[in-house]
Amino acid sequence: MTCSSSIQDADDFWHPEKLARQAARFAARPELEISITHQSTFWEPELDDRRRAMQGHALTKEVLPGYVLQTMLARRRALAKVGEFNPELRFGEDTDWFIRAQDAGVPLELLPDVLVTRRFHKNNLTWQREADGLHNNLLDMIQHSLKRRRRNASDTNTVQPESQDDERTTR
Amino acid sequence: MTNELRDDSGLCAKERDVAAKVVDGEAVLINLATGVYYSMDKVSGVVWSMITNGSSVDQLTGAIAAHYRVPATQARDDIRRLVRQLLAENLITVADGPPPPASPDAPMAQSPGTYEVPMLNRFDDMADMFALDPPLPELPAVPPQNAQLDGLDSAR
Repeated sequence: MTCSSSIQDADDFWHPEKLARQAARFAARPELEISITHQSTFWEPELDDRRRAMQGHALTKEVLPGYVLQTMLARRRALAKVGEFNPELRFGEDTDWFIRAQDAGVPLELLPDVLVTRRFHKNNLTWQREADGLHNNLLDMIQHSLKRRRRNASDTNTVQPESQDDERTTR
Repeated sequence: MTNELRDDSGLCAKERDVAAKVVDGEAVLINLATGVYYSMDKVSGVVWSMITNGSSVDQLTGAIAAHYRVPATQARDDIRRLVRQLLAENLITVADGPPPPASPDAPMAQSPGTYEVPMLNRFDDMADMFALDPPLPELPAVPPQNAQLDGLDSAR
């Protein structure tokens, strides 16, 4: 198997078969570069009031598609294509990374299996996020993505000098 | 209850449900509840900026027709269609009262002079990505449970 990486948070749980199932997908699909899974959530009783106040919000759903680092197994070449996390982002750096992966056309598969359980408690950084700053980050990510896609579309419609071909295929 | 749209009704962005930002004349909006996002550039970017100032369809028509030198009937038809789209997507609402007086045409300064039919570009390809790291509703901050865990940066 080629070199792959995964990241886990200290307060979340992996299913014992998570890595094995994702590795099997890599073996079955050599072109696949990123595997993510669904995730479930559980809330500590200390957050009962907040959970009730957030009824209907995405975070209160029992199962969600796991576009977060905790569910991801990525081949090394995917990490090289997408690049590093944006160090200027204190929150949402994983969302930004997944957006950049999509824009770069990196093959990603979302497994239907629920292989990560995310725990919500009083010390989640999630609760420390300040709404205005977060929204601003999100809008910046979207705008950068739109610009990247327009640039890529423009590149596709333009005949490139031969010397630039190799560089373009590594994006 | 939603107010009926009339050409002289003031309009306003749904600030609780929508985050928006205008950069270089392009407005980028996201519906925080659905994760669907939108782009409004060129003429529509100007329209969005004016809506956030409370403008009505009448005011938008007057400003756009004058700046881009297009017939008012064409501008009005285009703006009505765009405003109906914005309402249908829950991005704006019809204000209770009349619009404020027309403001100086500052949003025009960033827009080139060629008229193009204003469009609302809709994207839903990232809704799943935003689902797990979504903007949160305005709720009181949760104090950390104890000092020992204050610096637990990985506790997302």
